[in-house]
Amino acid sequence: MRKALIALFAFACTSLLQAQMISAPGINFLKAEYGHTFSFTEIGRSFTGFRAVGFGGYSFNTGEGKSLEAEVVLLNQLLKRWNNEDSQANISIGGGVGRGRSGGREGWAGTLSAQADWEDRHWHIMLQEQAVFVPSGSRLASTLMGGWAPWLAEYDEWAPWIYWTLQHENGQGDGFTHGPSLVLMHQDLLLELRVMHSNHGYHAEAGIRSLF
Amino acid sequence: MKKVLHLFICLIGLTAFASASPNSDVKPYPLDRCIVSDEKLGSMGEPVVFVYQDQEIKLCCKACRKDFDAEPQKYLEKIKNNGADAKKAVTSEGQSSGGTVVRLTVDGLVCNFCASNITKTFSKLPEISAVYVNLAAKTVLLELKSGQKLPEEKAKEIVTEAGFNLREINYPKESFDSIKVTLKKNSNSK
Repeated sequence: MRKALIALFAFACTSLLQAQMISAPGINFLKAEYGHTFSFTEIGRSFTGFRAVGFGGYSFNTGEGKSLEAEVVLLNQLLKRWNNEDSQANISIGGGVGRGRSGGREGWAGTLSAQADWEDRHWHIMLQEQAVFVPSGSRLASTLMGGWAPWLAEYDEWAPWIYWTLQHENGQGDGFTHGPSLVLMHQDLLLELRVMHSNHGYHAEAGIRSLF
Repeated sequence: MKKVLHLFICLIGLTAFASASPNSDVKPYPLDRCIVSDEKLGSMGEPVVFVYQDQEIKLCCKACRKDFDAEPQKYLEKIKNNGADAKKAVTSEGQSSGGTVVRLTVDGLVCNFCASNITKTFSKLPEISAVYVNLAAKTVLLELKSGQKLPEEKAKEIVTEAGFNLREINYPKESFDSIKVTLKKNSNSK
């Protein structure tokens, strides 16, 4: 029964969810987040509307001397997009190869990621899995985000979104972290301010995404 | 002493005259239509009147002021040409005779980044002179350069490559700016 529920949840998520940074052909992107235990920066270029390449830097600082860092060359692929009259859903994956270090050891590193999301102009839900592997360990960050737009704004106006984020990282020992965030979108820019709560208290986090 | 007093009074008079008519160099607005939307002045209430760089400007409504402020030189140029562009775009019957306007209805156009993607994609095309995306109407509005064409097949291909689906394409008679203003007003009222 439990397996069936997990499978149902996974199916529900993957059939609903959307994309990582893949843009239209010939457009560059920047995506960066600073978090209490997980921070990253990705910069790249979409060569088609379904494929992007770039560079990514990842840093897990999960306490107790278990930090992990990696810098990789990335390939993001949009597997499937559903375009409806009033909504859009995406499933995308990504992978990267580069160098990483953890616990004083350095070597080859790899990343794998999967994202799914669904959104209309009022609601947005996203599930993201981000795994980073280095010779001396690995980390998996799972993020589930749900957002709501209190009012609708046009492309040339500031569009506000209120999100709730639930995050889990293996090896962290903190269990789940969660909290609200405010997202502001204006033309090519997205800014996010988040307050996450964990067993260790409250932490401010921030993110930025941009197309250029 | 009397002459000095007389001269002083004259100077004051001249100064007062000069300051009382600061707009004497202001060029009057030459059109009976809004330079932004092409709407007939007065058709949407009291026109918005102001002076920009010694040029009197009359707009049909406050919404057009935002557009004007975003690209004042473009509209000053239009006025400078005695509204040639505006007149070219709209004939007395409201029929477009200027650059072709293409209106695309696109599925999947739901957020700012979608709008940004499709705006950047079309802006790169040499035949396009202006792009406006309205999320509420799921519309991509294109203005083609003079003599240029955008066949349906090409539009569909571009929209698909950008990751969206083209639902409908049409070639409205109204001017680009006029449709843009209407779309903005409609989305603001939602």
